[in-house]
Amino acid sequence: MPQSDLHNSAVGGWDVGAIRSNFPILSRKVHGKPLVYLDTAASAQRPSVVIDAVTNFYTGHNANVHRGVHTLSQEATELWENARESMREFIGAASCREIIFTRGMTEGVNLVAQSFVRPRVGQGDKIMITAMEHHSNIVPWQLVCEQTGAELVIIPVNNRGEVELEAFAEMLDEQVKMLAVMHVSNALGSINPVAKMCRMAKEYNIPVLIDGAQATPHLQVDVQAIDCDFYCVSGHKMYGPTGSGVLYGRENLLEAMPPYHGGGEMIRTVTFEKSTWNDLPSKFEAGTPNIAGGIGLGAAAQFIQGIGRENIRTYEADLLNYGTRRLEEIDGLRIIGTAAEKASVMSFIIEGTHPHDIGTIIDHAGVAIRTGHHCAMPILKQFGVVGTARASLGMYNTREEIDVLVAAVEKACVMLR
Amino acid sequence: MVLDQLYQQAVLAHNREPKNAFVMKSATHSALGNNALCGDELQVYLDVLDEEIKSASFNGDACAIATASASIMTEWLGGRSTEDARAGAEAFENMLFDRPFDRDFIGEGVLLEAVAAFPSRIKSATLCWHAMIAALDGVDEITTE
Ligand SMILES: Cc1ncc(COP(=O)(O)O)c(C=O)c1O
Repeated sequence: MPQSDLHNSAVGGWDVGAIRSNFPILSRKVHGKPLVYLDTAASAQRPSVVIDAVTNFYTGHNANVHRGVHTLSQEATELWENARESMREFIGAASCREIIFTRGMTEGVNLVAQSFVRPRVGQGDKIMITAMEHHSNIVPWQLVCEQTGAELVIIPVNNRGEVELEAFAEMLDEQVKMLAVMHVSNALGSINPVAKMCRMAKEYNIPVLIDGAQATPHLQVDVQAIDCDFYCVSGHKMYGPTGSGVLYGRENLLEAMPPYHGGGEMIRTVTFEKSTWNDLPSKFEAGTPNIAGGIGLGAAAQFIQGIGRENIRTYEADLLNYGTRRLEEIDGLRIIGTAAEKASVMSFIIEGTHPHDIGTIIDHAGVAIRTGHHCAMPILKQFGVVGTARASLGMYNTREEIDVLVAAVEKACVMLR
Repeated sequence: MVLDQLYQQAVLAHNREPKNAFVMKSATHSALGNNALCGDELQVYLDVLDEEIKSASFNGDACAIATASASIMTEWLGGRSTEDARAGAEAFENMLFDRPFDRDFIGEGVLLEAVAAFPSRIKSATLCWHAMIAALDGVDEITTE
């Protein structure tokens, strides 16, 4: 099939061909076949506006930020701070002082674990997460528990992949000093009721951190409406550069926290006796940041907003339904993760086959999926599997691509069985 | 096409009906091979007497490449000296990294030669060999990433 026929599906005025034309990589071939990229949950592809923002910074404005009086430094600082404003608007924060640039979701959660939670917990205290968290929202808390004697407690998840809210309600008490929960699961696709969980936690004055890595590319996110205390964004999952991200934190909490990394930029004065800290957000941005990455991330946020998150959500929901239905036609296939509210992710196993073999074989049909444990070993264990094959969707995917996936998987099954 | 070589019928037959796929109660040596990244897990069992591997078996949940490789390896090991077993592991690895190796020596192992063209799958093919060496060395578990 020629490329143009493959991608002309339009749903409710959504022109996916026009969307796709923003992503240069989508026109490449893999093993002689048109690339069918179904691994957005691992890392999204980048639109030209993001690539151009990065290139434009390096070719036209490259300099360090907040340092010089010269023109380039001032331009770089302006682009950098504009990107911060784009991210503030994108997640609905009240102030740019609440937007800290990071390397990604992982740095955000470690910052909060060490600077906010570690000084506040000890023996007898509890840090609470769900059973479906990504390793990056498990391990930083285990470190704090080791350092302080606090206990990590796990909110159960049912066999559809939904948080057990009743059990959660019963687990809440004054000893819980932190709740950390993912907004959207990368392994199962579940959308968690984070606003409701924040309200429930608030009754016990429990601060809440949300792992938004898989939410911002797919859903409208408003941190004030959710009413969380911290929200971690990953740049590369939302069509932005790798090594970029932001941490949102409530201003009063960030004010009260000690710095995470020490170095340049985050200080006001330094003497060998004592240093004083810079204002927010600089206090948490030690050293020269990933300037081009942050600027690219701001462009990604604007790009997503230009298309409209409601439109993206509607289109991707239709595609997810279609994909799930088509995959379920495959003999012996079981979808892992069937929450009522889902986004983007179709995780599956097929009787008599192993995900790795499926992944290798369909790569030769140009289809890119992820296989393995998806950095979420505990929840896969609950489902009785050590790994799955996972197809994950972005705004650029099409029904025709789902058909290519299904045909390739069927062929792989014939080969393997 | 390389993919067809990787998943050639002879390899798939070893996956569908693997040889020596059982828990060996009488094993003198045993180790778990764990490929943390993809979740492949293979327990390798050896019955060793006077530096001779009388028989070998394996058990576990792994992809077709890892399973076929374990089936082929355990067949190959029966009756060999432990010294040969270690040399076999080295020759097999040399094959997968496109280095010179003794084709006649590793026998049916050459069925997996095409894995060399799939760098992301080399660890699947070598998992059982690593576990076998670990077992000989008295190590309970090895993890490859
Ligand atoms: C749910 C979830 N949380 C966190 C992360 C880690 O994000 P980052 O790569 O930005 O550190 C990922 C990505 O793998 C993820 O899917």
